[in-house]
Amino acid sequence: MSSNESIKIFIVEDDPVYLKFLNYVIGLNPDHEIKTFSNGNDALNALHERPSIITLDYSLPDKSGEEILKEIKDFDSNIPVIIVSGQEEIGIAVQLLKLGAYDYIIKDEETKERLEYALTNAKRNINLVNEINTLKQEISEKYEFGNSIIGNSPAIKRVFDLMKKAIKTNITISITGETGTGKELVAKGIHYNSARKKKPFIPVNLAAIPRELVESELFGHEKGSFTGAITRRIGKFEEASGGTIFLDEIAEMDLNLQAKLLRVIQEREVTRVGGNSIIPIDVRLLVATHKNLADEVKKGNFREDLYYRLLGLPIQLPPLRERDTDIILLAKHFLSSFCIENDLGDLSLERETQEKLLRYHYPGNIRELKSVIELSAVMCNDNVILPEDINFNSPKSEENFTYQELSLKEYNDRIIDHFLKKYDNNVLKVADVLDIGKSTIYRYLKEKTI
Amino acid sequence: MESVDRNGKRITDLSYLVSICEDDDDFKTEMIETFLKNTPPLINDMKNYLIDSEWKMIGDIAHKMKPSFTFMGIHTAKDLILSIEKQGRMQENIKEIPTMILELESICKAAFAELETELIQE
Repeated sequence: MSSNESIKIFIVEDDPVYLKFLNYVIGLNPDHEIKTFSNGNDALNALHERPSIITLDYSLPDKSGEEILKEIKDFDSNIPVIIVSGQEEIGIAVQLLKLGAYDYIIKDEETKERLEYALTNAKRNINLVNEINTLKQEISEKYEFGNSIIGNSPAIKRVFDLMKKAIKTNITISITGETGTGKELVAKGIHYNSARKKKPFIPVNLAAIPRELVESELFGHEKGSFTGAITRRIGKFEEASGGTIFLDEIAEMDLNLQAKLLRVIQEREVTRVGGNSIIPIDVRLLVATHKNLADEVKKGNFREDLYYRLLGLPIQLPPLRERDTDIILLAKHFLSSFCIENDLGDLSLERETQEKLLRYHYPGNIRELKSVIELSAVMCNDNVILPEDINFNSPKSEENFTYQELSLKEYNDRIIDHFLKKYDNNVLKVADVLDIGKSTIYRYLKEKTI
Repeated sequence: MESVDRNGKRITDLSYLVSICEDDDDFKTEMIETFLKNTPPLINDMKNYLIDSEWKMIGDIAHKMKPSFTFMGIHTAKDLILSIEKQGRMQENIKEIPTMILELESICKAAFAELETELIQE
């Protein structure tokens, strides 16, 4: 609802004089579309017309204001109900506010100003609620499988199939895959396509939280439970109530806390640090790690009982190098998004550039591809990105050079190339590092120029 | 009928209503007309409930009348209406209620006369 849109307001008032007054005051704003009722039942029967705001007299001939308020709240708890009443008893006002009345205004000489103020606030509130709903809808659309995870390779299609299974139930999902393969994106995709999509999605990166704070972060703490706990704070599990909690880098959790997490999962309840009360939780659990959890169990770094609890439905994300043509689809997607964000016009990838992209093995996976593409968009001089605009600078690039099946000579050439780049084409230095004759390098360079 | 109270002062004070209306005389007229149409039946209802000793109903009617008396600025009746409301609902000192209703009726009659004059002058 923007400020210029019409807003439907119900006035429920049996005193004809006061009804006329309310109608006049509320009608001073031309954006207000008013409907009046002289009893509670007529107003309740018209709720299907979806009023944005209701002003309600406390004393009506057929029902008390309290009963009507309850029925309105049962119908739609988001409709702001402003009580306008001659009752000056504080107890009644408190009771109605507890039941969810938006405001309580006494019929006196200040009613007009108070009502205008309450209506302004209620409309602001409605705008905020609408904004939140729109954003939720946008997020939901953003994380629809086809919109958020780009690709049509067989490897990613297998992931889609598992995600479709994952959204049908509340089963725990364990997502594994190399760094940069999109584990959080898959977690969000599952949450925003599940029945819990209107409730919070709370991601927690366990590797990013100091070890001594993880327990308080996850389960909350009571005031004074440790130095610095100056107020009570709810934990991420409580924050995710009704929704999904995503524990990223679960393998980084220390053994002591693993035992506590196991208890939380089994009992479906948490106890805040320094607290005694048990808080029931309704949270779906998604976990992720780039490590092999089974290996961590063997090494004694991860509890076996927790491992089996968390395993649920495992989803293994393929590294980008195993996703064939998805590399080009993703590259084009990142390029297009970057161009729009930065007002760069249309840029395209030359065929040779695409071949270069396909040849690389992406140790940093999708995150690395995105970064490479964005840099190339900045570096290119025309509207076409050329192979020389593509720079692979991954610190891991030398680690996995065997990902492709090449001849020994081709591997040799790659190694020489790598060190020549590293030492700024200093042939003597490279020969020294590789313990080969400098003539071998000159020969290689000669062949390359031919 | 003289539109003054026992001290010879006006009973109604429309300054609050005028402040709400700003320059909208039609609304002011409508409010006065609605008050003139709506209040006499309420006083009659009170008198009828008096016959059946329905004290709570009398209190409820007094409660309902209260805000419209604010618009018409009938300040002399404010405490009287509050007493009828409270004593009726709580069923306290009920012997005083008939007299209070008659007094209210008398004040109202004077107020109606003032308001009718106001309408004629407009």
